[in-house]
Amino acid sequence: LASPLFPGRVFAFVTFLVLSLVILGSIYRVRKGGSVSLRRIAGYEALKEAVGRAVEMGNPIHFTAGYYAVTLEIMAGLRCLSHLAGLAAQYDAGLVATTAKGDTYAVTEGVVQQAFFKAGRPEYYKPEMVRYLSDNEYAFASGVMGILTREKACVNVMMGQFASESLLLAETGYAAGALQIAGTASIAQLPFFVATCDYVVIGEELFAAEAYFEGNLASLGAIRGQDLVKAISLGMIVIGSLLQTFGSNILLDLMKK
Amino acid sequence: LTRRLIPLVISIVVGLLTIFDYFLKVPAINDSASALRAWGVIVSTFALGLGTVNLIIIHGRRSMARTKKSWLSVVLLVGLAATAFSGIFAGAQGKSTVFIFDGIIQAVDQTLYSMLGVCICSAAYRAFRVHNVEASIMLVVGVLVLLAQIPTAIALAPGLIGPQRWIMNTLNVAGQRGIVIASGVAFIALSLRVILGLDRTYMGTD
Repeated sequence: LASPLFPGRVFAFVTFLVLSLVILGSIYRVRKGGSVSLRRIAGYEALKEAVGRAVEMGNPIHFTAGYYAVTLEIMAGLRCLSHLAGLAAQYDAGLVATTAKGDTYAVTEGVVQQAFFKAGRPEYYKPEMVRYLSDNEYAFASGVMGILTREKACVNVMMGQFASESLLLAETGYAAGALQIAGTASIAQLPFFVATCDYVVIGEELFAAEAYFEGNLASLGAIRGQDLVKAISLGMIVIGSLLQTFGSNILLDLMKK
Repeated sequence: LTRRLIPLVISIVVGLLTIFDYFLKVPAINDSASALRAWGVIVSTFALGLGTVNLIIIHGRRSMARTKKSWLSVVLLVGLAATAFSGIFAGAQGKSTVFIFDGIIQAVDQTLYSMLGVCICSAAYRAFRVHNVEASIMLVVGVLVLLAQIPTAIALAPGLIGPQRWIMNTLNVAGQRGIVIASGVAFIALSLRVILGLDRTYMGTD
């Protein structure tokens, strides 16, 4: 009987199932009463400071989740926007969220509207707060650069998925004197953000946004599950290294299946 | 209930189909996933229309506000209309469309891309300024890696290659893999939450 799995993806499928079970099991356990403590993430703590700064200066906060269509990184970035927009609504701070793709625009608009509604101030939401700029990467970048300089944004939050435009945005934010908070899991863009921004949320921290801000049990459970999966991965790395050192390819051959 | 239930069911079905399409060699699943990807392109195109409406509303209001910078919005709207008309009436290969893309958009794209060089220099200057221990270490490591990529420097000091390779292939790769593994696991966790409806940010609800 032929296997229904594509050749070379059997190990990946089994790994995916095991990891999913571990994460779902952790979510179930935390929902049943387990507790999870999160470490402080400076970039997320700075969002409150950012809103305070915007209120004091009377200038808007700029947010972008990046140039891409809706991806998981963009969704994680939008979770930060949801928290930021809630704070902006609460303290009556100006907010401009820019997007580069039609679907990201639609989701971003929904997220900001909902945040204002949740903060009990739906009347403060203005359609100008969420702006679609361009589908073209550099046209989008120049649009954001224009907003940062012309509208004198005092805070520049960039959380999501970025390409080469990341440095253009961050350098313009720096030149405009904005407090800069960035976050991404894109390895190629992280050094740019580290060099130019005041706070950087790195890799997996970006995906912890919901657990950090909302503290809901499913997200906290997933964080615990992630830690368990990382421990399993670490164990596999150690075992693999030892096997390779002693001349065995068992694990490598298994992973190729 | 319908407002929440329908998107949830769609996300569960689409999510599971996409995952199983990657792993399973089942024609029914592979064909459905392929059709879903095509639908995704169509939905994105409609969403693009939504974005364009937002652009027209915001810049239409600004143009009519007659402030000092209203002309910028007028330029944008004229450019948008000219590109749309050219695309509709002259076609993708029409002279005017080719001029807009090759003569204007590409030229501006290249200009902005070349600005990255200046940005890299100014960001590197700030990052390498010696103001604490970490910045000093970064300066030493950065200079070493940069020097080992310059043929003249390698000719003068061939010993630079060894440490540069060790920094790039051991320290750098180890750090990057750490981030990639942790992010990958977080990706899986968030995907599961979205597929199972435990995270509904994309619907604008919690």
